[in-house]
Parts: sequence; structure tokens; C-alpha cells
Amino acid sequence: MGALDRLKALLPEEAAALLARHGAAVTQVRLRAGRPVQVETDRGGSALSAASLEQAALGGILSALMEYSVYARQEELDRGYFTLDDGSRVGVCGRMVGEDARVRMTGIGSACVRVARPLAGCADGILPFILPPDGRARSVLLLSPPGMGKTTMLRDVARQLSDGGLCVGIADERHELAACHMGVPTLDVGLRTDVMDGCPKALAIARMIRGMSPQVIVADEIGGADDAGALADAVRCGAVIVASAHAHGLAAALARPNLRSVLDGGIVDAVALLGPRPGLVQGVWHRQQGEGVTAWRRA
Amino acid sequence: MAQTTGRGGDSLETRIALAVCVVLGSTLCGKAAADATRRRYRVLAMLAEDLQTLRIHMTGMLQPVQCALESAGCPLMKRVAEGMREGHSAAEAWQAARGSAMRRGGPADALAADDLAALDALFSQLGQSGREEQEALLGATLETVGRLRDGALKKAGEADRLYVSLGFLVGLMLALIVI
Repeated sequence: MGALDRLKALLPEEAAALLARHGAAVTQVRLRAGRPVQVETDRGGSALSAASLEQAALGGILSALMEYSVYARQEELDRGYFTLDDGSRVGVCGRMVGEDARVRMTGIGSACVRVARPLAGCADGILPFILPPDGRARSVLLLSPPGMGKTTMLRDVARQLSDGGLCVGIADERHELAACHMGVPTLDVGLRTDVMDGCPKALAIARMIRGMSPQVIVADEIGGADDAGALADAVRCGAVIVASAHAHGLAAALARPNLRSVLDGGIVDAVALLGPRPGLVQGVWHRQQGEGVTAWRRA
Repeated sequence: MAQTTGRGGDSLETRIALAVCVVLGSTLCGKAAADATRRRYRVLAMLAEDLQTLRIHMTGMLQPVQCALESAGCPLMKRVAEGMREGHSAAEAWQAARGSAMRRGGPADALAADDLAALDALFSQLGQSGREEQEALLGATLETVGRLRDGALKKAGEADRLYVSLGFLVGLMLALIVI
């Protein structure tokens, strides 16, 4: 059952009806204790339910979404989200206790369900930059602010490259790209795709390179301290990288030290910026390698 | 005359054979009654084993409660897993399954009030908290069930001796009456 169907069954009647009214256009559902349910759609609007959601009801909904197994989601919760079986991500906010890396979620006050929607063909606009007519595959980094469809596009890139004949390895740390159940993808990520699920990206990439010899590595939301090193190593081993990161432009990406090392390190050949609508390719920049300097030229 | 003696001899042999049967039958009835009391021990022993499996699948392999319950062999846990498959929490599924499980022939019909109280405490909190809390919950339940199982074994041993002896003595009395 998809995230929307599950929410419809769990929400109070009036909020469920609101969800049903917007149908497949729903992109996010925001649940806040003591506040109305907020439904956001791909048309850019948002609607509020008339009645507020009680705290106990929010707890019940989240508990059901977690399959009544809080302990199994504890690590994810401590990072501020958990992922559903269909790849939809539930971000959570509330009381955290502890210090630095040992913070722990002890009470949830609000949640945002980001609905995963596989859209076959949504990567058509970006594929010519990954597989240009010369036949040599290029590494591409997708940039966008949150909610512009990076994950959906990456999933479709993996599917199309894989079905086209390339061996694809997906480093799916947050279970969103392939929505694996017991290690087996539940979403269509292609015929020749292997998925390392739930493992930190840098580790997953290194292990896949060693064990699965993928021709293409796909990774979502890179930007961690170890990601650049693992990606650089994969490129040195001959793999092509298709990855995504949060940034509202190339300059913003260059201002993030971990992304800068990816961009300046010769890991990706092109950068594509998505927005202002989900799935729209706003611009593409190609890497120009000078003497010790990396420059980016807009296509 | 010889015919009468023959009949009387036959009658005594038959009576002795009947007396032996009565003693044996009565002793076996006592043994059967003792076995019924041993059933509680067997159910608790199986439960303790399955709680270990549940702990490994839940806190070690981080499987969701429903999957972990299904991987246990105990029919009681399988019933709760079935309830969870319909979208209920472990507590709700247990409350729904409790009544039918306790009926005659059900997987919990041999359990005593203390055993059911331990299961109530387990299922009311199963899956509802973090890993450490669940580890503690399962550990405490294992300890309780282990204690109850040992008690049941002791009681079963006592009942075994009592019912078998009682059965034998009743059989002996009946045999004397028969002879």
C-alpha cells in the first residue's frame, strides 16, 4: 500500500477526504499536533483541513506508519526522518535529547510525509547529458532546493540506464530510491540494477565498486564528509556517477565545502539545476578543466 | 461337579485378570491427569524459546514486530502476527486474540492467570519504544516466563507423583472389591 492510501486509512475522516480530493497531485502531507492537516500538491498550492489533529492521533498515525515498531526506526528517527515501504519519506520534528551525534528523538510534535511517486520518463530531459551522442557516459550532479524531484529523477535515470544495458549500482542510504524490502527493490529501478540499502553512501559506494563492478553509481543527497572521497575513488575505477545534492544554484553548491570538493575534484562532468517546478531542468553547466582550475560553462 | 469347579476356576482367573486391568487402567488415568498439568509447562517452555527468537529478530535484526512474531514457532505469537497484518498494533492484536486463544483447545488454554498477566504486560508495550527499552522489556518478560516455567515444572512433577500414586491406589481398591 502506498503512503497516500495508508494516510487516508489513518487520518480523521475529514482530513482523509481532503487528501482524496487532491488525489495523485499530493506531494507532501504535513501533520502537526493540535493543528490542521496541511496537504501540498504539485500545482504549488496547499490546503488545510477544518479540524485539528490531536496529539494522540498524530502518535497513532506515526506508530502505524512505523508498523508499530519504533525500535526498528530509532536510528532513522534520531536523524529526523524515517522511510516508508514505498520510498516515501516521513520527516519528524519534536523533542531531541542528548548532545552532538548522540541526540535522540523522544517526542514527536510534527511530521511531513513526502510522497514518493515513480514517474517513468521524467529523466528524459537529463539523459542526453549523461549519455551524449558520442557514446561516452558522463558523470552528472543534479542540484535543486528540496521538493524539485531530484530523487524521482535519479530513480528514473537508474531505470533507463539499466534497461538500456548498463550495470547500475544504487547507494540508497535512506531507502528512498529503490524502497527495498529485505534487500529487494520494490520500485522499478531497472533490470541491471543492484542496490546497497540503508548503508552510509561512502561505504556503499566502496563496497559496490569492490563487489559488484557497476558501470554507473547512483547516489542521492551527497554532501557528507566522506562522500567526495568515495565518489572520486569510484571515478578512478572507471564508474560514471549520477548523484544529487541540495543547492539552489551552482554558486551555492560551490559554497558548501564538501560539494566543492566534488565539483573541483573532477568527479562530475556536468551539473544540472532543477526547478523552479518539480522535474524541470533549469540549466546545465559543463566542466572546463584548465591548468589546476576548474571552470563551469553553461550549456 | 467337575463342571462347577471348572466354572469357579474360570471365574477366579477372570476376576484376577479384571483386577489387573482395573489397576493398570486406573494408574494410566492418573498418568493422563498428570500429563494435563504438564501441558502448562510445555506451553511456557515453548514461549520462553520463542521469546528468545523474538528478541533476536526484533532487537538484533531490527525486523518489524509482525515479521518477528511470524518467525517465532509459537501459535500464540502467530495469532498476534495475523492480527497485526490487518493493521492493528501488537496490543490490539493480542487483546483480540486473547479470548479465542484461552478457549479449550486454544494455544493458551493451559496457561494460568500469572502467565497471561506476563503476556498482557509484554504485548501492551511491544514495539512501542526504542531498542534499549524493547531489549529491557523482552529481557524482563523472559525472566518472568522462565520463573513461571520452572514453577510449572515443579508443580507438574508433584502432580505427576500424586496422580499416578492416587490412580494406582484407587485401582488397587477397586481390584480388591472385584476379587
